[in-house]
Formats: sequence, C-alpha cells, structure tokens
Amino acid sequence: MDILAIVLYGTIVFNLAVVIGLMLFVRRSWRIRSEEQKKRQARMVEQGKVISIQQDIIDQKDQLIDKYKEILKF
Amino acid sequence: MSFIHFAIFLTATILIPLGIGLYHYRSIAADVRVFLYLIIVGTVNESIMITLSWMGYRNLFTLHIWMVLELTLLSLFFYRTIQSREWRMYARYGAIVIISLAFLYAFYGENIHGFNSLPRAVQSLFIISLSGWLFYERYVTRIGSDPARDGVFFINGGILFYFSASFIVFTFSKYVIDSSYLMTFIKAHSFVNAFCNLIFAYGIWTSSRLYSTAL
Repeated sequence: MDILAIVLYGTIVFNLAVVIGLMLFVRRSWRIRSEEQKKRQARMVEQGKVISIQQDIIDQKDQLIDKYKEILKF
Repeated sequence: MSFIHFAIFLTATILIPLGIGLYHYRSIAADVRVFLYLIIVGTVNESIMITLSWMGYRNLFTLHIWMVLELTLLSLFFYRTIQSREWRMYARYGAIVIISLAFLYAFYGENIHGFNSLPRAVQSLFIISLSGWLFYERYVTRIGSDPARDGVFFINGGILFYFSASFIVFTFSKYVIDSSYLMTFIKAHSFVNAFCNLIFAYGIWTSSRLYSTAL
C-alpha cells in the first residue's frame, strides 16, 4: 500500500470518527438539555401548586374573617 | 471483479436513497424533498458519466455541470433548513459567488475537460461551514425533537462526512500525474460516496412519516 492510499484512507477514517463523535456529542447535549427542561417544567408546576395552596389559605382566611365579622355584629 | 465494475457497483448505491425517497415521496418533509431532488440529479449525472465512458467519450466536463447543480440544490437545502437570517443570506450569496467562480474556472481559467479542483475545494469548505452551522443551530441552540428521529440530522452528518473526507480528492485530483494515483483517488471517493448513500437512505427513511408513526 503506497503512502497516498494511507493518507487518503487515514483521512477518511479520521473524518468518519470526527463526524460520528460530533453527532454523538450533539445527541448527548440535546438529551441533557431536554432533561433539564423537563425538570424546570416540573419545578414550575410544583411552584404553581404551592401558589394555588397559598391562595386557598388566603381565601379561607378571608372567609373566616367575614364569618367572625357577622358573628360580632350579633 | 475489475476496478471499473467495482466502482460502478459502489456508484449504484445511489439507487438505494433514490428508491426509498421516491417510495416515501409523499410523506417526507419538504426540506428533505429538496435533498431528494439532488439524489435524482446525481443519479442522472452518474448514468450519463458511465454511458459516456462506456461509449469512449470524455466525461469530465459533466463534473463541472454536476458541481453547479449540486451546489445549487445543497445551498437550497441549507437555505430551507437554517433559521438564522444571516446564514441563509450567506448560503444564497455564497452559492452564487462559487457558481460564478466555477463558470470562470471552466471556460476561462482551465480546460472544461479537466478536473474542477479549485471551485470544488472552495465548495467543500463552504458546505462544511453550512453543515457545521446547521448542527449547531438546529440541535445545540434549540430544544426540538430527538435528533436521532430527525432525518436532517443524518443527512447533514452524511454531507459533512462526504465533503470533509473527499476534500483531498477534490483538491488534488487535477494535479495528480500518475494514473495509478488517480485510481486510488477514485477508489477512495467511491467508498466515501457509497457509505454516504447509505446514510442518506437512512436519513430519508427517518424523515418519512411512516417511520414516525411506526415508533
């Protein structure tokens, strides 16, 4: 096998390795960011739940105050 | 099997993405269809080249025509897939400049019956840059669907591999004096071309709706 063939096929193998590595890296980074986004969305849903619970407590407190006011009138 | 038969056998692998693309033509994405047109034009070009060679005519002038058609359709493919306005403009005007260079090189600079080394080398660098940008923009800056289920991911990978692996072949084929060295060049290019045709076939099949519904 002459030197030209070694250089050519070496370049081909090297480029193949680089492209496959790049594709795997892109896929991996996509998976990591996708999982991060899912976690962030889940966290936001949790925060939304906490906010809705807080709102319920405030509503209940307002209702209790109204009830006491009515009782105090009597 | 002689070298010529082996080269024709490897070239014939272009029929695989062509067949898959035509079979799934209605269900593949619009940007991948542009790539399918490139495969169709490539098949016609390869047939003409083999026929001319078989009849004993010089066939290297078809490389000049093929380069213009290939660059036009590939830049159109990138123009459709890339979102960035700057890079779309780059794809459009870069293609126009390189096609002008190819015409000047073919008719004024060098003989049309020789290899088109200079414009082909510039085209390779241009396509490599567009392909790299498409990878970055489509899969790194945005969180879209899974890249492994996206046909453009494999087609773009195939394009990047083809032009980076064949860069030496494209650049130096005109300056090779010994015919045995030229045969080594052609053989290496045939292997790369056949491998890329298989990647393109997989990419076209992945982009068809049949694949996404089968999951």
